[in-house]
Amino acid sequence: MNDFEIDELASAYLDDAVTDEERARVDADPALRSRVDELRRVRDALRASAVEPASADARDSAIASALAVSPVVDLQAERAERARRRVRVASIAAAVILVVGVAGVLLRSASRDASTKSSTAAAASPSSSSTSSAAAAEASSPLFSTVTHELGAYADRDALVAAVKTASSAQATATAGAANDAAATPKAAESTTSSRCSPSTPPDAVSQTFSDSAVLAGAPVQVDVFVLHDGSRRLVVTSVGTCTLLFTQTL
Amino acid sequence: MTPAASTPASRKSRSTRSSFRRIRSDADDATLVADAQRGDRQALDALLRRHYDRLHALCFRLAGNRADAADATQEALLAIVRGLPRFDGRSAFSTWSYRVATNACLDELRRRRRRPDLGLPDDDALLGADPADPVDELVVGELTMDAALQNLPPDFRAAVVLRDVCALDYAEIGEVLGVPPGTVRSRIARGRALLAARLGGNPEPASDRPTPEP
Repeated sequence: MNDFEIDELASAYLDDAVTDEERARVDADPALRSRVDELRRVRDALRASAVEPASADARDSAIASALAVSPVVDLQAERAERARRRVRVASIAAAVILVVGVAGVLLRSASRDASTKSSTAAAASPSSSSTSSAAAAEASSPLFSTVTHELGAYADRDALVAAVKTASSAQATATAGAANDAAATPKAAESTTSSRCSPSTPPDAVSQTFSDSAVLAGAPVQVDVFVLHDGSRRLVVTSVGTCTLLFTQTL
Repeated sequence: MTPAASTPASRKSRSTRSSFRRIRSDADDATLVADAQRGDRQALDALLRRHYDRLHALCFRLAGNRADAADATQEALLAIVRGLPRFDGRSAFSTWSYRVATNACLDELRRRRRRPDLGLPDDDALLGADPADPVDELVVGELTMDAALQNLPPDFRAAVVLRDVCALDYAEIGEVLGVPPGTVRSRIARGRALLAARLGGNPEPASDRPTPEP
């Protein structure tokens, strides 16, 4: 065993880094134990030799310099920025919701106004509610279902009557067919007449054969033709703006 | 008292900072490392503060004087911060940071050796010390230890310092230095033997020592 091997064994023994066999060998050899003691003194002297800590300023400066080159971001600042971003997004979202809400309320209000006007117009109709119900019932009836047309504009009553005569005669056959169609699809017929005024139905009317819209002296009118019990036909002209009877005449 | 120090906001800020530091000091290394790797600068700060004195002691023993130790410690911290994103946690942070610091110090030593003004550590202080004075005797003793360490080859010095100053075991030292445990054992033994000769613990040459029984 040379000196290097001796030192290595003694040093490892000191660090408790030996096998059982090596430990037994050192324990049994006074020269090796002596070398262990010498190295122990050196080790203890090194451990006892205190290193004076760096000053707080030096430490803070070194750490600050290291942090300055760090690729690590400041998470606290990042969190604060994220919180600010969240507040901004929430504000924008709240504003959008508010705008949409206000728009919805306005639209709903406008829709309600339109509905109210329609109700008012219906209330202003010369027909009573019972008459309206009767008219509705009549309208839903196959006999009173009609086919609507756009008749045109006329300067006076005679011109309009003449046009209705021609048109209603031409549609006489079609009226019966339309009545049959309406019987097959009453809902379609109802929807066709639902936005129109309820005409003043003659008391002896047995069916309606013609219904149309026209313009008389610049004002929109509704034109209805009824077949009476005696087989004659009667024209009923109603103002669309007020749903009031303008005139009635036998064709 | 400064105006800022007297405001409730500044008191609250100091209190928050103080409680934050307390919470951080309670966290273990693994937690701080994980937080730092996720981008928490405060965790990184706490981690470096916790290990600074340990790393400085290592660098001082390896470098041999305060100025070089300060430079080496600074380099070590920079290397740790730059390398932290790649730290995979397979070894303890303390072991890994020792390895980074040891490499930084050895690099610093190599640079220093290339400089022309080489000398024993803190020679100026040694010249003024009186060994007869009990206080100066202590100073002389420490300087002698530093000087003795500086006379060791860097590889031996690193092994001895990591074992006797940093208290790492052979496997950890092997990990730090990148050598097998057998090499660590050999380097520590040679380093200690040279220190013993230098410090007078074993004045006679190794060849004059009594030979153990075969």
